[in-house]
Amino acid sequence: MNRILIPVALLLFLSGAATVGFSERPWAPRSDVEQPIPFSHRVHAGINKIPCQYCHEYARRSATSGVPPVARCVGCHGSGLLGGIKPITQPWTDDHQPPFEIRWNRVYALPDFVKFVHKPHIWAGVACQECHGPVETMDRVVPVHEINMGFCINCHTKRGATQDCFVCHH
Amino acid sequence: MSDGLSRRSFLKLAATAGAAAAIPGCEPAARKIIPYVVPDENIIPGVPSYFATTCGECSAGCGIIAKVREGRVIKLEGNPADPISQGAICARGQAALQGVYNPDRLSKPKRRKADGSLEEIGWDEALKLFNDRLAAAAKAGKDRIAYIGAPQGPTLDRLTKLWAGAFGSSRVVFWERIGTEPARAAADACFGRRDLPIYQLDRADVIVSFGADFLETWGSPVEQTRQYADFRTPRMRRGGLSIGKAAYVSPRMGITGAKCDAWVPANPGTEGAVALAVLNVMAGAGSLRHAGTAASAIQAQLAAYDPESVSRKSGVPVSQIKQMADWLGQAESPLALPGGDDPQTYLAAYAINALTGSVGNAMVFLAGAPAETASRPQETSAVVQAIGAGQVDVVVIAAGANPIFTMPASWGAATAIGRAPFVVWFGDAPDDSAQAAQLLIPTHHHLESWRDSAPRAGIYGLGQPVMQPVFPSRVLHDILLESAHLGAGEAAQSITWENAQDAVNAAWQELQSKLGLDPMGAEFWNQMRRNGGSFERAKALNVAFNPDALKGATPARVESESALLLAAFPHPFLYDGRGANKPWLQEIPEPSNQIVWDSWAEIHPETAAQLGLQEHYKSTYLYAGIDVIEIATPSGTLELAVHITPLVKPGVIAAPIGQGHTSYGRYASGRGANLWAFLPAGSRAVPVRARKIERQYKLVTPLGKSDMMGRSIVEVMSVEQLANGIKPPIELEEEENTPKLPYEMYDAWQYTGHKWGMTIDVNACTGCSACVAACYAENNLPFGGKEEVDKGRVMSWIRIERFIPSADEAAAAPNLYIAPVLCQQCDHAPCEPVCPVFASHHTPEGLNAQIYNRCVGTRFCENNCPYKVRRFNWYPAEWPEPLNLQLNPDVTVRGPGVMEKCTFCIQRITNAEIDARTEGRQLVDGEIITACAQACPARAISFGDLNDANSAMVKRRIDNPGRTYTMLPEFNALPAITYLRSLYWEKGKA
Amino acid sequence: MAAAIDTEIQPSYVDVDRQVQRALAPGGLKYWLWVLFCAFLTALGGAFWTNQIYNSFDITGYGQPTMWAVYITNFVFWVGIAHSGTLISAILFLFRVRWRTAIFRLAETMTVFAVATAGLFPLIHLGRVWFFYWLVPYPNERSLQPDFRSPLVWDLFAISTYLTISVLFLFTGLIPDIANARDKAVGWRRTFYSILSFGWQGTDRQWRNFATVYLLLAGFATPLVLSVHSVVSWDFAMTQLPGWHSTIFAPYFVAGAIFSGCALVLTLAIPARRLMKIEGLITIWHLDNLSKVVLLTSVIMTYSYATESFMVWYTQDPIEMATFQQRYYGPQGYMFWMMITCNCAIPLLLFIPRVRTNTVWLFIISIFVNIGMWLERFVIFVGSLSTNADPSQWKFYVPRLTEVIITIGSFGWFLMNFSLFAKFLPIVSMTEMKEGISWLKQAVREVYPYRKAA
Repeated sequence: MNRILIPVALLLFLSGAATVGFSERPWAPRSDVEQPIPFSHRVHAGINKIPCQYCHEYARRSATSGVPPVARCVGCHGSGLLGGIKPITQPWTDDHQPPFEIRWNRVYALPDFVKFVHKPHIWAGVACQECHGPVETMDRVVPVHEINMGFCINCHTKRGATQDCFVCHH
Repeated sequence: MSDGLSRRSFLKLAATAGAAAAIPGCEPAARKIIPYVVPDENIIPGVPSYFATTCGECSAGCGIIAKVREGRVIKLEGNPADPISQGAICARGQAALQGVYNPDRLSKPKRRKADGSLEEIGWDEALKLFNDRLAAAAKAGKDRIAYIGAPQGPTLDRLTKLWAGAFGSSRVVFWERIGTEPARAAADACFGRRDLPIYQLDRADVIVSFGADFLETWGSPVEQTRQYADFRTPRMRRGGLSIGKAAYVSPRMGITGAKCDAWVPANPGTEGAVALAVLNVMAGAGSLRHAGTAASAIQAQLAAYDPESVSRKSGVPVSQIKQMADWLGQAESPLALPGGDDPQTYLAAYAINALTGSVGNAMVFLAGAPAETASRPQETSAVVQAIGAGQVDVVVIAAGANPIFTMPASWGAATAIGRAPFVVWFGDAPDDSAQAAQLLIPTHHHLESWRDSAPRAGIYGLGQPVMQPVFPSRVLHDILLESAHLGAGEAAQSITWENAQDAVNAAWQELQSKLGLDPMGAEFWNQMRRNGGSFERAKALNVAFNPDALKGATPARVESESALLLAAFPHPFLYDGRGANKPWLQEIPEPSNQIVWDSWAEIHPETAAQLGLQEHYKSTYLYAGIDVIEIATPSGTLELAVHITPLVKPGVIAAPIGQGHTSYGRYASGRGANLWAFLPAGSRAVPVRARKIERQYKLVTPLGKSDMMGRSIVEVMSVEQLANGIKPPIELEEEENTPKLPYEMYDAWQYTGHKWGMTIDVNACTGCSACVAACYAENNLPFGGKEEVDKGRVMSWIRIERFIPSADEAAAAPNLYIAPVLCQQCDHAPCEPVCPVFASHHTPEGLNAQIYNRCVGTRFCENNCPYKVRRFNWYPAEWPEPLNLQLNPDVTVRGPGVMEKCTFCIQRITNAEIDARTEGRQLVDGEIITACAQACPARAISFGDLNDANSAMVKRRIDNPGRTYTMLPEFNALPAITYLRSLYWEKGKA
Repeated sequence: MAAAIDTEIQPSYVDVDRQVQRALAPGGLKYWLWVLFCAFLTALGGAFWTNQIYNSFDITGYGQPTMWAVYITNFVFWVGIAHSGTLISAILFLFRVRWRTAIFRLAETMTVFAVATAGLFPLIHLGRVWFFYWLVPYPNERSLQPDFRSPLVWDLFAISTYLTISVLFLFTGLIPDIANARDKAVGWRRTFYSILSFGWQGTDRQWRNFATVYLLLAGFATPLVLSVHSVVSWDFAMTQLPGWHSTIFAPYFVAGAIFSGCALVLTLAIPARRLMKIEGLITIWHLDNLSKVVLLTSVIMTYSYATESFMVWYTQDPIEMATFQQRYYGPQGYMFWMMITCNCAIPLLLFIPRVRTNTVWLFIISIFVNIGMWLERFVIFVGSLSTNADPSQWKFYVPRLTEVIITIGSFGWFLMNFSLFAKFLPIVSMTEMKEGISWLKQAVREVYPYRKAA
């Protein structure tokens, strides 16, 4: 008997494990994302203590936190001629012509059927780090939490926020 | 918005967001984030911005507000500041979105090669070709250039004239087939002024419409619908509770006839005669209070129009003519509405209004009426003849005028334009006329360009671009100006502006000084842009009626002795044909017949029997295979599928105008027949011969049965019952059949916060379907096309139910049962407990939620829904580029295999609640308006919080205790929607 | 024929073994062609299902308002089929009914494969079949569970329980027979059988345990005969849809299930006994008794139809009445009348003994009953949906190629499994045949006289 049963059971288990292991979960945050320029959150948010919402200015007003316009960078770094803080991205800016369009790569993406809105979370006093982790310590942003429904629900339960599916899924 | 993000970054943004929105289910969204180079303070990504502008879909020129997300307009709503629309908008207005995002828009200039095919060419080449041709034509002599376009508002039209003038041409016509010429001519004859009178239906207590489908296409339907709803609202009149009385003289009922007490079937073209007969009777009865001594003279003039002879001609019984005369005579402020193309209809109606003292009250002429926008037909035909006679070198067809499609066959527009040496076509979606052009140049949609409108005295609408152009097109008038500056030399010096924007701006500066509007300077301009224009109250004029005008009354054009009459009517959505390339307008059923994506011939059962026509049923209630008839008109024969219906006069074939495009994009071309081509100039009726041919055709409708079978779907009661507090039979029946509601087996739901509900006044609803279009736009509803509708896969969350009262009901019912049906958001929702995965569940605010991403598609919920308001995604929804840019980012795009339904616009509710919470305040009543309620011109739908006793929605129920009912109460579903019964006069049937 | 009759009259233990063994002999070309044909139908159905998953329901005839149509009809049809098997094998076992011995194995096999077929249809019917497991309660990070108020969840449990019990019951019964086959088999068949026989030696202790387990399982299975199809019927009775919302559904469905099931047993047994030359075991006597059950249930169905209609008339509810008016005289009314003919009229022929003992007649009648019972489900489900509470939403459903092919495929799938089973495992229980051999002799003697006259 066992001559048959054990291999069969083993096979089933392995195939199951393989499916879970290798299946692509499109919405899992990416830890392998490289950005077009070597931008460092550690330098900006960590060392220089620039508040998150200085650059991600829409977070408290909108669904999306927003990625800073190049103009915002130029605000501090100035342009080549006018001096200003010399960004380590100088080589990059040298071989690009203005307007510098930085095509960032997404780290966090949500499916179309999840209507997450930053605004109420900011106003409810949720710190950015609670979802995005200690970004101010990262040179390259890597996700700390896997942002899935379980993650949301846990926090909502803790804080006694709404549990109504319809609020996020519509 | 005028100076905003660069087009490139806009398009990228749009592409990103569009991709994100258009992918259903479980694929990663675009993995790129492209920030603005320079941020636009107008735009917070994720937060809509609103721009006031004017609607360019028809000549009514309503003020609208465009909702813009990430630089793309995703929704149009009425502008509350505009006294005409007062915040409402019609289905056609909504569909402007599908005009600007139409996948068949011209993206590059094209030139026609020798073999007739089109080749793309560069802008410079195209403009050079255009300018050279113009210069050459200008050299060749005067009037060698002809411009045919639709009216674009005073400033741009003036600009066009100047442009042509610079090239020494006066052949500029602004063409509208459905024009105002007869109205103006009659006004001239009667009152000595060519203005259009303004009608105030809400001031009348009796309305008789002679061929004016004032709830469909005539005049400004949005305004008239609102006024008519007010007119029909029960209130104290002459010491008794009553509603206005209305009659509609027309060959077909339509929804106008459906909402009137009396539909008076008359042969097409004889409405005028009937009107004169009515006037005649009134004169005889001495009810022309203000005629004084002239009454007898008038009666003498109208000797030819005695009821008997007119009755013979028009097929209207003498009794009905007398009845209408009686109604008008008895009324305090009667109102006669003239429609159609027959001047004498207008003469008669004006006479009735003037002599009963309604002019200055229900019908007024305003001081400072705007100049005529459209050219007179004779001018236009003259230009066409000139083109045909080879007196024109360059023909410019622009701005959506589609002469080859709309002009009468007798003018021979097609051949004339075909003969012209050089034809240039400007526009967005190439139409039938573009086929005759050698050069096609893409221009901005009206939502992308500057313009203004002056629909009536005191109202100046400002149209501003609400978004960057979708396609690399250009502004028509910029091109014209440029050509003038280049080619016309010093003749063009008079034109001082750089471009159309300057012109509009300049015009408004003039306007400011003219009207003495404060504040001054730039602030004025900004204010105008914020308000969408300047809306002043113009004062009414005292006009004197000239009785001799009636001498001009000529006998009706169409003599009804011939067996059959073809009565063409403008399709409520497709209008004169310009709507046909917008899938929403094709997919929304025509309200009175419920037919989609087609044109048809309405024929009365009697006539059908005579012609041996019948419906061939397959095992389905849809019109599966109907006989096709060949209709022989003086200008050729056409074939139409028959729709056998009692809603048309016997002996008349009624057919909708608007289909039958040879080329107008994928949604319009090769569909039905173009009626314009068979109608004589200045008339919409023609005597025809018809015979059955051996072919069957399938007209498609989402409507199952037209018989309500006495069920409580659209409930009605008579004014008398309401006034005397008598319960209508159906209510008594329900009371004895159903247990005392609410019957609760378990504890009832408790709503601590809000509890959303609706009150819908069926009496006000005209079935105009603006709500349906609004829902399509707001909630990303897919359109399937004729085939999918045929399979019963219409996706609309809200639908207009239309039933025909059966013979025994007819005595105690309006002409049609019409009501909007959407999810009733029940407390005992049958859909909820049957869902195995909680995709359908009850929210704390009383909504029946449907969680798309949880739905596995067992479809049990729809089986158990008595109202059948849930929709299943049978097919993968498709929005051909760039239609997908219109999708609302706040609403999930549903993939195939999931159930979807009305959510009371949950995205609007959620956003409002977030705003209120973050601002630390309570929601105020009216802060949240669902798309359907917002659009409704009749204000039939009100949305609000049932827990808030002061909300307008709750008040509306309290104020109408006698009329409230819930749909299908025997299911004890406890809907959150309460309807108000429709009203009719027991003795209303004329 | 004479020889055959003799064997019918005088089957001995040896006969039983010999005949069953003969049936287990390697199949000939014809047999494999038949299996191949069934396999082809199955594959075809599978292909169309794949296509449907890929292209969504666009390619089917589905649409408003007929959310459920052919697939659910097939589901209920096959579940119904299953029940008679359990009835014969479990209930009749507990009642020690003698004529069950020869046919219960066949009926039970039919049960298992019918349920296996039925189980496919709720999946085929799903809009997003790849999420079917959301109906199963399992721990997940979303902390979401199925809604136990939904009849569909009850259904899931009912069907899975039923499948489990039936398989166990069938297999337990098989063990001694397989051991029997093992002892005579050679080559790979021997290994095959020895694995399946779980080392059965036929010792006294084994027999005692066997009897206990078998009795227990029979006890388990018995309530399922009633419960499973009641639950299935609640998918409909629990809704508010006119034509579904009726308390009569549970008993009515169970009766219908037995009816169609026994009919299908006939449909299968008659060719099987001929092809496998086991007329000696499955005798006219058995068929005769089986057809009596069919007759009884047919009359019960007739009564149910009458009651259903009477109740509607009695309530005088206009909406219900309209639905039934459409059911009888509507565009698809012909189906209703066909159903009445097949389910109520034709089976009455079984009152005639000669018909009951004539395999040809029985076969034809059983086919009609199957058609009738399929139509019944279609009429009730689809018809009621088509004529719902809102006349503006009425529309009648017409299946398209996909549904038809998948339905045919399901028959292919069922017959393939059944044929394979019949060839490789004893389709008649030798054990019980031997137990009841004396009854058989006597019974055949009883039936024989008037059969001869036939």
